[in-house]
Amino acid sequence: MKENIKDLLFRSFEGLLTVDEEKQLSEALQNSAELREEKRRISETRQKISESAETKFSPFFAEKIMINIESLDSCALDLDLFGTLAGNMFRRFLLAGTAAAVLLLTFNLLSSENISILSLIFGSDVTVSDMIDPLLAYNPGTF
Amino acid sequence: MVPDIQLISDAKSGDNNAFKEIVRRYEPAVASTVIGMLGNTQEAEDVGQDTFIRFYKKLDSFRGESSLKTYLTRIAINLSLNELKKRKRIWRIFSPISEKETETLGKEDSSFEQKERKEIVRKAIRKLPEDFRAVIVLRLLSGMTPEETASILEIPVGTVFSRLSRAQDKLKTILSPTKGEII
Repeated sequence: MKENIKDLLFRSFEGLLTVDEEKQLSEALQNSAELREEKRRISETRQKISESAETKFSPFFAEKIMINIESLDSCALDLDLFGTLAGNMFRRFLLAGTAAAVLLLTFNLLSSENISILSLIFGSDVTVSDMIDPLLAYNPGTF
Repeated sequence: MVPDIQLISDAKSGDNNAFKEIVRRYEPAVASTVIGMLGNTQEAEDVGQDTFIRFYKKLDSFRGESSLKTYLTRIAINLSLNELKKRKRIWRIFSPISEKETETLGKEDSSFEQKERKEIVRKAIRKLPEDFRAVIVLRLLSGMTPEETASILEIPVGTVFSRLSRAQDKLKTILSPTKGEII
């Protein structure tokens, strides 16, 4: 069987032939019993394939999916709740820390007229330089 | 019947019954695709579930550019192809029916019941290489048009036709008994 005629035959099932091609195929079918048999077999095969379609999963397929989706939703909700709680806790710590720092600085300013936190801890005369200079001066090789 | 667009809108608003209706409506399209590709197995059912769950997670990004059937079928075929790749990685050789089994399909079929006949056809389809199988499944099992099939598989329409012809030619040989014996 000629390949181009066979190609026309397959394409005819998809309704893709031009008028000329349809005419060519029609003539070929009239003249060839083999081609007619081929057409019958292709048609039969296509029908068998279409009929073999399995269109159902196991029973309660939709219900199983909804259970999965609901568990996804509740899991997402749990994560959201965790995020909210963690966020709230962090916010509380942040607020408490900020308030403590503001109170400390205010107390320091009122008591020593110095905004430095070091002066509050070590006394009014201590400066950053007083803290760092001895460290820089320290040289273990001089023992 | 409630239109798809309304069901999607309701599902986006959190109406799970609307989503359940979508699942019921499109179970046949997804099942024919997935079972056609993977066989009637637990894996196929898992892929079917995964298809809808993925769609649920992407509900907000669904813009309706393609029909819901095409959209779900695209997810289903891609997940099925991934599953086949996974199988190949695990077992190296996917276990299609043996040549010997193929040769006898037509003869056995004549005495089989309808359900068994269908299974024989499905086995023959699974015997095809993945690319050809996908075209057969989408075009003849899921009822997609050649253009939709091309769009889903991201191949030219001409390639769909050539694969379809070659796949049908092979299936015809496998499934048709000689000398016009009706299966």
